[in-house]
Amino acid sequence: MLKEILKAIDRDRLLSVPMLSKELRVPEALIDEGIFELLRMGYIIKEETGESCSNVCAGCPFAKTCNKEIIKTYRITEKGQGIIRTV
Amino acid sequence: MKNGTIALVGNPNSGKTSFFNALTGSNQHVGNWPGVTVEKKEGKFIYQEKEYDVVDLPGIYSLGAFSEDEVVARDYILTGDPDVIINIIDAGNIERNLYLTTQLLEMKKKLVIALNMVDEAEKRKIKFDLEELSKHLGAPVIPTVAHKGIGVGEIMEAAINAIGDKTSIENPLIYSGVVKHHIEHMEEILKNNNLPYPIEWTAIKIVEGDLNILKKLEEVNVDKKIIKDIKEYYKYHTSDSFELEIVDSRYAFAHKVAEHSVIRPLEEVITLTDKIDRILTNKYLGIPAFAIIMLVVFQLTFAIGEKLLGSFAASSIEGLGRLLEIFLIKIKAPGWLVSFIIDGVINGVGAIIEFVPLITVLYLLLGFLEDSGYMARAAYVWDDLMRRFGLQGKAFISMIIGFGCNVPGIMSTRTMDSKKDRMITMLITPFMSCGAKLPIYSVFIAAFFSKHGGLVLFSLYAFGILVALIMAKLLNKTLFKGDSSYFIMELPPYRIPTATNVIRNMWDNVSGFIKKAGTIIFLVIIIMWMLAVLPASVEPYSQYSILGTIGTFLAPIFRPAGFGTWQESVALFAGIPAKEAVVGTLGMLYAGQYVEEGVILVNAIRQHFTPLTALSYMIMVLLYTPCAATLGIVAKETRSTKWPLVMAIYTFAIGWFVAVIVYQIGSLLGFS
Repeated sequence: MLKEILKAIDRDRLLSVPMLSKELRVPEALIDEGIFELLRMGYIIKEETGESCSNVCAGCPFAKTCNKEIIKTYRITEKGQGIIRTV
Repeated sequence: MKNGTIALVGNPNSGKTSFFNALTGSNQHVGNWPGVTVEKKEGKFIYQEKEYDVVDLPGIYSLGAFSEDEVVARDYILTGDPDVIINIIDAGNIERNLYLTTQLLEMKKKLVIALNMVDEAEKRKIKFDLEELSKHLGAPVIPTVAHKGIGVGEIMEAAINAIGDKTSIENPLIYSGVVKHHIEHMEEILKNNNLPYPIEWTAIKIVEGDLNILKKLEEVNVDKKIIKDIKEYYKYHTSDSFELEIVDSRYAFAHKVAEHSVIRPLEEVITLTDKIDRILTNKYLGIPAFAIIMLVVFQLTFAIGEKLLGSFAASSIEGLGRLLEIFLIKIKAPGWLVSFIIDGVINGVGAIIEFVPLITVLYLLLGFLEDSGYMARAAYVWDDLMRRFGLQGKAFISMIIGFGCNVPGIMSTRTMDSKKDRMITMLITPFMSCGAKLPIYSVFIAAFFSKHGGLVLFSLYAFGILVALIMAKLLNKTLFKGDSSYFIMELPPYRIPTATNVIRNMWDNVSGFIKKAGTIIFLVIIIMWMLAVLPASVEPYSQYSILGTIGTFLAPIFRPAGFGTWQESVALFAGIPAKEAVVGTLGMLYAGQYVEEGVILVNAIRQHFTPLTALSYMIMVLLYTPCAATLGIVAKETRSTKWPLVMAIYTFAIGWFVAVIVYQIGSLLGFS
């Protein structure tokens, strides 16, 4: 299942738990768990799109709005790419 | 007399604590596991006059070595030697819970399964074939509702029966041929040694790449040759994917077991999210849908924020100014103080504060979109278009963030691993209309385009994106050639935005706007006011003041764009420390001039601009040199002074060039 998740997110460049659940015919909770495992094992990494600026501009009036994570993004690591090549 | 030890193992929220409480009642002892801060709960259970120890292990999802909880649970199961394990499984979330079960099966420990919270699962019309489940797992399965005490007695009976059972336990998991071969090979290395853990399990963990096991073996002084052999093995097999293979085998087993023993009601094949996404993430309809959504946002912003609430805010500031002026004259305040407070503070800073309602409405609407999960869809549909312009979709995320403020927009490029993508995105983000530019547009829109305010506002934002894309293409073809790296975007399900999130988002932005008006902009306006009234020998606010002299020197640069007065020129430069200061400076210089006649800024703008020059001025504001904070962050991110300088000059040149083109073509076409 993990290989299939990797393959699907690489193909679509999209990580949608409901879509993966439908495609792989497994419950969403299991997809969640699979993504957690892929992250833990270092096949994908989560990127931080909301950068905290507490060190550089704590006095900035907009500091609170700065580190919002509007969209979550991930990247397939070299280790993950290696797996995809073998699938 | 000790008759046996029973360990409770389960995922967090599987009802394990309810189970422990139901079994032990008040007969509990809470402490810590040795050497760690993980809580250890022990208790006694009496069955048929015999006492059994019950140990409640921490709630865990797996038996790896990735958290203290996992290590504590794993070590206890392997070395604490419980006589039987009760694995509590949340019946409503069986596949996920079975992942832990598969790891317990690998340990070949006596197991009894408590299928807990079956009442909740039944409400969701989930049914179980208990016999099938038990057959696959090789362990008794008993349905329970621990918090009501249902099935607890049966579980304990099964557990106590299992203690006396001498049947050998098999690991039912099937690994692929290669993995199986490696496990067998490792078992050969490990055999005939006094290991602290079962050989097969140790072999699996070593092949899985669990370095914690190697550390444990070193600690207990197993034969040095074994350690050497394992290290040798890792030297040749670290690049293999056995870790993934083994984890996948566990998932496959969990899934297979659930498939054979769980009956679920047919789920709705096409959900509402699917239906909405068919349009919003469609290859052809996605971007037009985005444009329509943003157009509605700007129409509502202008209709509610400017027309409905803006005039109220403007008349309030104006009224406050009049009252203050009367008061200052009454107390015979010196002329310079009256001038500073009325012209500088009220007409300058007040001109910016008037736009608080507009900003409030815009951020309420954007917060609504963000919280609904739409923004991820927008970035997704833009990904394809971005690629055509030589960028990755993540650039659009930076651009979206840049709509609020360019500084975090530029900071968000840190997540791009391609230097080329990062540099291009940094260089184009300033073309995004940040919140600070909104008051400037609003003044001009109110003066000339109020009938189509939302549309003009939307067009300015869209034009900024268009220029950014063109520049990205140009930069990609010239300075920064190469391929874009790609990323995976998470598409969350749609949700109804919560009032708390939307209001918090709005407040963070609005309070930032007000705070900025009271600090940075206030400071800029004071400097501008001083330059406008000095030297004392000349008429204040005239072209002979210091500000007037600077403006007169700069004005010819902007004449081809149609707005070549000294006031309009210095206002643009006042916008470099902070964009809002453009409105503040115009307010001070124009409204200040006419204050006796009661002419407010919008009317003053009408007297000094035409619709065409207003348009070219707005375009200049949209595209020209970003604020000092943005240039500062570019210097920090690129660790050079070259790139902020390049950015300051090239954006100014583009702003000027496009403003001139708009004005000249407009004039040729007969617009005024």
